[in-house]
Amino acid sequence: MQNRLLSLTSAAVRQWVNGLASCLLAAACLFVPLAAADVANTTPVPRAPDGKPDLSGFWQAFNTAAWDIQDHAAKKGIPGGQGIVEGNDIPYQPWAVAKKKENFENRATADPETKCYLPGVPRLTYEPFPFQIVQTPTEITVLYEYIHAIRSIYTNGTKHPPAHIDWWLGDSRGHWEGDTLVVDLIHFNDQTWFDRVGNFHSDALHLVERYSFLDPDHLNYEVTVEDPKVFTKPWKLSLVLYRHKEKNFQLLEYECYGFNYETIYP
Amino acid sequence: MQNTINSIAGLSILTVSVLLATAPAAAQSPTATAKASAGALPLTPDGQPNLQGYWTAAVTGTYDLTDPRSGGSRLDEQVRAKDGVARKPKPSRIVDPPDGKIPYQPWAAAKQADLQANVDDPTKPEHIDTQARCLLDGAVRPFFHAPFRIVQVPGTVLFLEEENHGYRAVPLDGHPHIGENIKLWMGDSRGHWEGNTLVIDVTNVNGKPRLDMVANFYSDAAHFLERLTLVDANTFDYEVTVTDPKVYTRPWKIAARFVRPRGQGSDYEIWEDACHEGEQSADLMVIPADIAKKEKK
Repeated sequence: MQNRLLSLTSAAVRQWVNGLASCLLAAACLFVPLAAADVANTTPVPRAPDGKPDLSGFWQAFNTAAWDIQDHAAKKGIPGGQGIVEGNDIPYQPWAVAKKKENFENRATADPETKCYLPGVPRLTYEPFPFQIVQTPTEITVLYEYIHAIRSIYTNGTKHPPAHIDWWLGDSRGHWEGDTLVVDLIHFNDQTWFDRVGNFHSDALHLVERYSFLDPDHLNYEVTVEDPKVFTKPWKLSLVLYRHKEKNFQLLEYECYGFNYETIYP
Repeated sequence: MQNTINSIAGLSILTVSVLLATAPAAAQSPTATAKASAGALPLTPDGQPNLQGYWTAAVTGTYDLTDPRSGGSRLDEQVRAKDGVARKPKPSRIVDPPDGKIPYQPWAAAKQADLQANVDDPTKPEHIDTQARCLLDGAVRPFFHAPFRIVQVPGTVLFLEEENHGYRAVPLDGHPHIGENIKLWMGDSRGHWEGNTLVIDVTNVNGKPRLDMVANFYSDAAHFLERLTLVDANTFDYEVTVTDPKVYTRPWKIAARFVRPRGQGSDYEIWEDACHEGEQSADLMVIPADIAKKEKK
């Protein structure tokens, strides 16, 4: 045991000590050596001073999900792409299949993106723009270049506000499961889509996001999508987020509706 | 000028390194370290003077920089004036020049006066305040609009607005500004600490956001140099020098005190304020001049 500990990184030791401290409270000490071993066996990840994986930095998805989250061949101006939906099929209820088709046909004006509205989650994650994660022990703030969108993911143990609130980006409450950030989201409106081909949800949308390091510069991003008003069962999507490594990289702006006013405010 | 900025930035890296080197001591005895280096002011875990949390201008409102109040309180005053209650104006936010006025070039003074004359009965789209269209407010105006939040992590200071979810990330690492052809609504901010003062250099502005509701304005040649000086745990002083050779005859300066807002403790959460998504009315306020004339007859 002593040798085993010496071989761990200092971060892992911190994790182990943190685990020990919490296990004394939770009477779950039996699991701590196992958890520490798991940490030692995984790829090294950047760690925050509190021992949690440090998600801070600039990230972006590089795929074609913004156009269509399912498998699709290229069309003029639209790159083809392998979908991000697990198994590719989205389990729509029969009425929702028809609604998706209607959305597709009217997409030139019906897509909320064409009005520059906040695009909802998870669509915001795979819009073709970078975002910046700023992490503290109690909150993970995500700043998006796209329409200055922002998400506060509270990791301070607070719960969703009660009742139902119609928000474009929902309410995010996170916690750590080992080295994975797990975020529970509810309180959505029924106005946002998943992509530009009309995949949609209702205000009963419930998401569980999982962020975990594949290596220091890549995050696996996985989302479980649940919406009993629209789908017959929960389904999953997953994609890889890439760290921007360019020297002096920073967010710029994509003020979508601001372009309409360029001549009014020269 | 650029060289001066770079050398200041270089100094700030040195300062940060020194602070980082003393970080373990801070971890052992944060209070003692704070007393020794910053006159009993609170520090963040990485050794920055601690500006975190919610703040509000002691005098809020962005109706008019030279006559500070909010649009709402101006309406209240108009109602009270009908009852014969005189208003008591607060001093201009502008401390330099001493007359409290913005030193516009003649053409710019005429433009601002024309826009201000049409604020209440707009006849053209440009008479509408940029804020009423949910456009970003730039670097300076958010300080006076409403309470806001500061978050500090190593290497970055964040300013977070509840209104219209505006944000500004200020890097402290001294890397150069972005290329001059990239113009931004919020500008490009670089910060460094000089003792208890956070100095922020803002360039690359697009010149579109108005400074207040009476159309005080700047151009894409403007430069803001901001100084946030922590006075005590619950007070900071803000000062910004505005330079814009296209619009003003000389640099000018705003100064204001900031305090902790009531009712926004550490457990307060900024909730989503989807401004553009609900904005339906700004263009409906515009009544073309010919129609407005007929209505007045």
